Amino acid sequence: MKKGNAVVSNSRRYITQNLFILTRTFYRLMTDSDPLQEKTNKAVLWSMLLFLPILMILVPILDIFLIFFLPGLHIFKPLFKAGWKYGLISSIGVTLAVAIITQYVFFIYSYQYQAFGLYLSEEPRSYIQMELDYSYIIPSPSQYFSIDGFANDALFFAGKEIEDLDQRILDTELYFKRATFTQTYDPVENENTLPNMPLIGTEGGLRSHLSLQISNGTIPTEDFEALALVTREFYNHSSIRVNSTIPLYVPIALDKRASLQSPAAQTELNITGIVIIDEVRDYTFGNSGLSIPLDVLFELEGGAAVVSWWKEAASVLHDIAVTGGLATLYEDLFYDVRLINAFNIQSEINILKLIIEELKQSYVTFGITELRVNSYLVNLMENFRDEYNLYQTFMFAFLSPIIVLTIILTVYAANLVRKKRDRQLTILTERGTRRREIGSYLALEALITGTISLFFGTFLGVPIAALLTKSSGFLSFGNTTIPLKLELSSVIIALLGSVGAIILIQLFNTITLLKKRDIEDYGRIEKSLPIYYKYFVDLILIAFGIVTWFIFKMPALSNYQDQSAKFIGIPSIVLMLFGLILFVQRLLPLFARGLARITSKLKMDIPSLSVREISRYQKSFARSSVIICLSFSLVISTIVVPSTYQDFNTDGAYYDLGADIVIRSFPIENENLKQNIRNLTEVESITVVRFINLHDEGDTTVTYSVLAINRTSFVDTAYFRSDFSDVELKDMLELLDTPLSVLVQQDELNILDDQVGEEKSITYTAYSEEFRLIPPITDPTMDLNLTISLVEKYKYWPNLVSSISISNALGSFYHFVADFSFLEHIYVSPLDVIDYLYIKVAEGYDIETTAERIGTIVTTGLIYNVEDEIYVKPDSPRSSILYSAINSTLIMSFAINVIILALFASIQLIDKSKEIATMKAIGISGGQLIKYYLSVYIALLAFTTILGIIIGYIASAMLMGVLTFTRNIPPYFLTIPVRQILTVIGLLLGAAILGATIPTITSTRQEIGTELRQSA
Amino acid sequence: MSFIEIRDLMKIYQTKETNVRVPALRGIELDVNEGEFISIIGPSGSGKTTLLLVLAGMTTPSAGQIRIGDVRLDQFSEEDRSMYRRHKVGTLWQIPNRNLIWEISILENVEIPMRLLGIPREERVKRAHELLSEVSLDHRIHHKPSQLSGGEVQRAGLACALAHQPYLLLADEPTGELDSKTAGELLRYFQHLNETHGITAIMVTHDFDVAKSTDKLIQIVDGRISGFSRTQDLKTIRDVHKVYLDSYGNIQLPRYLLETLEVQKEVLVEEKDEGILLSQEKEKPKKTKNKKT
Repeated sequence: MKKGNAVVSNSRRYITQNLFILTRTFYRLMTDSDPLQEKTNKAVLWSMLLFLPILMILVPILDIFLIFFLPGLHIFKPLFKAGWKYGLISSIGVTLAVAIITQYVFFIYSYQYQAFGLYLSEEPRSYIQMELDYSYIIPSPSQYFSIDGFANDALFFAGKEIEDLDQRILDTELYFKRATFTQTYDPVENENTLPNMPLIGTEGGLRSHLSLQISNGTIPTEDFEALALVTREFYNHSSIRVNSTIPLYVPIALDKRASLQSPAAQTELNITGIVIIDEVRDYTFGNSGLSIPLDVLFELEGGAAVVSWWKEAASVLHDIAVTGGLATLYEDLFYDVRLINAFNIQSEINILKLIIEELKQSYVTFGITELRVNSYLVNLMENFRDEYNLYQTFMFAFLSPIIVLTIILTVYAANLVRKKRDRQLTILTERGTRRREIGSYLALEALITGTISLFFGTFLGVPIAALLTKSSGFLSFGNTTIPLKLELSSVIIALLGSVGAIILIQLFNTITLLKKRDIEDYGRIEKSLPIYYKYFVDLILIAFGIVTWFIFKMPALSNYQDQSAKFIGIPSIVLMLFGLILFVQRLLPLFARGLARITSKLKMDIPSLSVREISRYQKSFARSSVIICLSFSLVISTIVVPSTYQDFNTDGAYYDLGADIVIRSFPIENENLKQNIRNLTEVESITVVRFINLHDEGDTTVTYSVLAINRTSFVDTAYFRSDFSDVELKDMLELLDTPLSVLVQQDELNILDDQVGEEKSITYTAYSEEFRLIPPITDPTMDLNLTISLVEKYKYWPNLVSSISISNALGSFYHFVADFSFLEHIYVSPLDVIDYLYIKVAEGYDIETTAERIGTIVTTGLIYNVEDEIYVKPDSPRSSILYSAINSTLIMSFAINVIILALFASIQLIDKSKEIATMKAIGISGGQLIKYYLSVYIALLAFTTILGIIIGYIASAMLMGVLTFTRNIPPYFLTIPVRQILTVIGLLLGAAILGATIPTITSTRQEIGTELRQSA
Repeated sequence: MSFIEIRDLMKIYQTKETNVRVPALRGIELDVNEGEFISIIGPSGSGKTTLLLVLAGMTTPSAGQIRIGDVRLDQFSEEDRSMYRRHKVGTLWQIPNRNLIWEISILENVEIPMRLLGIPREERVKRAHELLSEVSLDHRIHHKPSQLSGGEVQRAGLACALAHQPYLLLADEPTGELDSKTAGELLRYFQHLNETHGITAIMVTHDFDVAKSTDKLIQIVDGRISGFSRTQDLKTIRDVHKVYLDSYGNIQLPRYLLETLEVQKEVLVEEKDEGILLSQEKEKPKKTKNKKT
């Protein structure tokens, strides 16, 4: 008894020591982590504090278990000596399971930790922006301080609910911006141009920063003096220099030339200094060290602006008669992104939203109601949340069957162990050993093998994950490949998952080994299918899966898409597929009989004899078949799903963009530029598209988004799929020949309560500086009615839905497509019109290269190409979401497939060593024996391949259903890359047969005498 | 009072799949004295091994009483039966790897029953050496069973069965897989150990020669004792033999009769008023060819 206690106490000490080493190692890794994760470290510490008690509970439970069964300790030595080899096999199996679990967890955590940092680096606008439209700007700095104070009030109230708000908001900046343009001479192109050059008025920190960044000239001190903020490119293409006087115009109509004719819409400015914005220091907020480029801060799409101080710039505004001091005010609150906990993104979003809410309240209290909030940070965080949800859904979809496979595989290996241990344990039972003592021994053995496996498996998970990272391109973000990151909480999760798996596996082993059996049962042939078929487990699983699928499809769950996909959709698929795989095994005996009949008719003597083995050993064949079928299905779905998803994403990119290359804010009046682009050999065709938002600020805000197109060139250039409408695109566009005729989105017709062919009257807020000239309005806006005729409907229209600026906007949206002439009938602010140039790249030319080439010609506007916009492409951040999971699953499935067949062959052959020896004794040659057994495995592989392909196809269709749950346009079609499937299946079959051949050859080479004697 | 008293012992097996009830023992009545060495003989499926399993505490009787020494085996719980096997009974089976764990040495095998009793290591090793020496395996104590001959494995199994000093030794055809010479050797060890250790031994066998080396012979047919006799008497009374006749008409004659009477493959069966007479067919004189000289 004393001895036993000592062993238990020693084992506990060793476990504690190992854990301590493990914890210390990972703590070091954690503390070396990115400063961005400073906050997360606290969470990790909390997790650790939580984890340790769990282990502290777990270890005593195991101790109690051992102490309770302590008598078994005295048989430990001989039994361990007799069975360590089998324990090792079991341990390797468990190690494999642990390694697989841990590597998946490391993947998930590495992604979640590091991807957010990269997301942040791709979006520098880490602020909350309050946008106050049509604000009356007074040429006095006092206005600046009072409006800025509103934001501070809001922060004061928000600070009552958010403890560390003063640390989160690093700085606030207020400035106004008015859309203006100038007239300048481009010495490079030798022409006069009208580039956008908004007027900005600022104070405070920005004023100090700008004062220090002047590369040439001095700070403005007087009214009508300003700094020119320009990119080097803009500077070279203009005549704006220090001490030059530039004209400044307000766009009073959609056509800039109208403004040039109106003396009231223009003034002159002296440029006192030049700031080359792409060559100066970024604006740093607070003392944080975090910064933002000036062009990003001021959102200078044209790459230029004129900046002066609040009072001086306001005076300029007042000088332009039509403006009357009206501009858009921006209050930017710079947020410390380092405090964002990537693991608790939803609560972080909630904090930001709370701040936004307080800001809105504060402005409304002071009578400012025309307010828009632009929070790129919230968008970014929501995007990240959605993406990691998608990523986790993906991982979950592939992880769960892999874990199931691994556990089955381990249990399978344990079965081999059990068969060998059975005899030992029966002898012990006959000698008077109690079942409790054997249980005690097994528990102790499980503790030892489990601890070893846990330790090695966890560390093995790292190289496996690293290997998969390299092989699958996982964690490759753009041009940056980030290393696999180990983080303590991921280790904790991995350990907890692994401990669960170990307990499950060892529990199964112990129960099986302790099961009361008759010694006379040795060598009994398992002729029937496994016991679970008796209880229709397969049918129950299918039924349960179907019910869960219907729950997943319930409309009530649409608000919880990500969660329901992860926790209901995927499990239901796994259940159904597993049930289906179990169910098809019922066909196995039938298949074997059919094959036996065929081979016998073909006079293939040995194969016809050997395939009967499947009927004789149904139980073990069915078990193996389940695993191989499952891994085959996984292999198929790992090929079909990404291909389909890739096509879906490419289509999605085209759908979002509308053409191969799109230039946003393109200067459409610049005919030379258009001609230059058209003349490029890489360019097949171009078309101009104008995107207009008509707002109706009634009781509920309604926005009519109209895509104005050139009917002839649009058909040749834009992306449009035949299933996007019931009518051909060309025919549909021909209908837009009457004034104000539009195409309408099919599903919006019902909401509009209208029919195709009818006319509809809409009200919108019209804008024109010319309205101001009509007494007594003196306001550039007024409500106008417009009657449009709905000539045809479409299902989906590329670019239209996704292009609307919807941040924080409420109300309804309607989407129309119209001819260019539509613009002649409306009055709209130039800010509500975005001009695009669509470019179709000629056959045989690379889209990205063409976009780069166009980039050298076009100096204004943002160039997008479809290649860059593909949601999941191999070298994009998002690719990691898909390809890592898919590729690692493919590799895993591949490995498991080979392992299982090799293991199955080994078990079969160990079981049959006597049979093999007898066959050899009667003169069957080694070659014939190999043929005999390989025929069986090939038959099994043929069965599993056929079913695996069918089930894999079904699985792919269902998985795509879940993966596209959050985004169902454009519709997708299942892509079957036949050649790729055939290659992988061929490789897999080859490897599997090789896996089975090695033990077959080895066993046929054994000496007959030894075999017969050992198996006696 | 006998050491073993069995009264109206029944054992019925019930198959799980078909629910068929198969009676293996149908009312066995048996008395065995302490230190006696008896053999049980009978055809396959007659219930010999079942009787042995019941006596070994490895299966529970369906009905009847079994008293061994001062304990009632039929009233034992599973725990009691484990303790009974651990302390009181030793077993030796026909299949060698059912007696020994193949992966460890025979010394370690012999030690296992003593480990279960909590005997200290020194004592265990000493006794294991003694036992293995008694069965002439002292030079092979560190060998694994796979390295021994069939006879040696069974002798090691015998040492193992006696390691915990049981008062009852049960053997199920221990010589079944051995040639007659090796079987004879094993039996001599058996007898020697029975005499020196004074334990009661029951052996199941098919072999009449083996059976005759025991004190008493019990015949079982269809789960019932069909007769028993003292083997000493069998050897002296030469004109009366009780032999086994199965339901197919096969007769099992004692081997010594076959040897002494030089019975050939075929015998003549003559019907007489008082029964049947087995006689030997007279050998016809061989025709010899006259050699030409």
